[in-house]
Amino acid sequence: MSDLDHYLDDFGSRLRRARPPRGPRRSLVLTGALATATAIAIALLLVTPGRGGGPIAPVDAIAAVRQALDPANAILHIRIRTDLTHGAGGARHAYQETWTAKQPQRWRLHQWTPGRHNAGLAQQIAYADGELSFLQGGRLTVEQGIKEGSRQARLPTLVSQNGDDPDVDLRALLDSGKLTDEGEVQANGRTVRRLVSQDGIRTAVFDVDPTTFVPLGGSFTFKLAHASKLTVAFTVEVFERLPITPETERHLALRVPEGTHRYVISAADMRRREEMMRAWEKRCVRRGSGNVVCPAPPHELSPTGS
Amino acid sequence: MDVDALYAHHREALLLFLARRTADPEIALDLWAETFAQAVAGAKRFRGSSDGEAAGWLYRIARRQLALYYRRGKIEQRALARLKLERPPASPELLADIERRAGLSELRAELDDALARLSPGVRDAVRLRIVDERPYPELARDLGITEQAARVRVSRGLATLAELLDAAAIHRARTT
Repeated sequence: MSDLDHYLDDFGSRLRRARPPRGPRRSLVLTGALATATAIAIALLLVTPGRGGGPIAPVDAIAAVRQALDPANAILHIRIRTDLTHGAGGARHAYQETWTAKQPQRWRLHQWTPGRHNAGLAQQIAYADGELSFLQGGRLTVEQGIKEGSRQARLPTLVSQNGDDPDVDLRALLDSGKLTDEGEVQANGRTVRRLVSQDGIRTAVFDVDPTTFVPLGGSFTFKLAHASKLTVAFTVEVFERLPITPETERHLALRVPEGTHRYVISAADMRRREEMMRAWEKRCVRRGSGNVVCPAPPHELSPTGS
Repeated sequence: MDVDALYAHHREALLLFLARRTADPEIALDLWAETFAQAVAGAKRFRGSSDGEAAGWLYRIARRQLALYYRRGKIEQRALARLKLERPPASPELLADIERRAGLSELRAELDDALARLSPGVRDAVRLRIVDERPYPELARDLGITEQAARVRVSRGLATLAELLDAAAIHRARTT
């Protein structure tokens, strides 16, 4: 028997002993009060600050933050303010507010930029019962046949304003293990636990409460040309769990003003769009620089296309 | 689905499949281990009934891992972590055996020809890593870029080359 056969046998026996997890984060399904109590109990294990010479505290802060973000048995309500330095129309801040619930999966995202020139650019997106709805500029588009748990049914993002880059989504970062725990640091006059993600072009910093592990704020720093950098800071203004009642349940649904134009894309149309998307992607070419260049997508593929 | 049987039937073939698509036995082992871990973790979601469907499902997982690696230059180990599973460390002899079985020497010769079709920056990174087998920190220093940027260049280069090499494999299958 060769070394490779031994190796394959060894991993095979490890694989046999491994048991699949019982369900998606079932062990993390805790009520708000229990979650807080657990977080406090975990926090008691903290020994010393992680940075500044002391060892990292023996607590899995990343798992604790993931738990804090879990909307189990409640509606998780978060509002995030992003501070803009070059906002369009002179805007100083942008806001993103989300309400999330599980079993069945449903959520609503509302993002807006207060300001004289772009107050009308508010956008709402919601998912429930296999329907993904977009509301913007007096137009409501409903996409049907979206399976729960699918990529399309995923809340676009927690902390990015556009929802176009899942890599800056804290939930995605937590799931993918891309965050590192830097221990406790001082930020904005208080002690926070800092989680950091870095890749070649961007550094994401998430500061969480060292006791409850709820997100408090952070920043994204992007590397630009000529060694310059752009940092975007954000603050979590609201982080709360609401009991599920008929009244709070209404936060999960879009509020559609009267007179809004409504467009429905059926499940069959969605499948046709996906085929169109695949055909369009095949027309993309990889340039010598390594960049992928695509022709303009057909109008039907735009989020509000009909 | 019987994951044990799936593992017994495809363990080596899948490893060599991944080795030929990454030209790196160590990376292939990481992708291979994560693929089987995902199969164990997600076996309940498998809806097929035949061995052929199970094999197709397994290779779809592997291709998805490969695509993620090509795009990001990183290897996901989420399922391994969830199962609290680690692949055993590989000895130099084992890596050499995988290289030999996957025909990586011949593959590197093909890669060298195909490299001419890449942009200079990507080509240099792939050549240094895959053909010359230089470690990433050294490669990054020589190219004056970060290690992460070097990894991204190599994985993107391989993504381009994968199409060329697959085309070459198809041509060989037709003519030999």
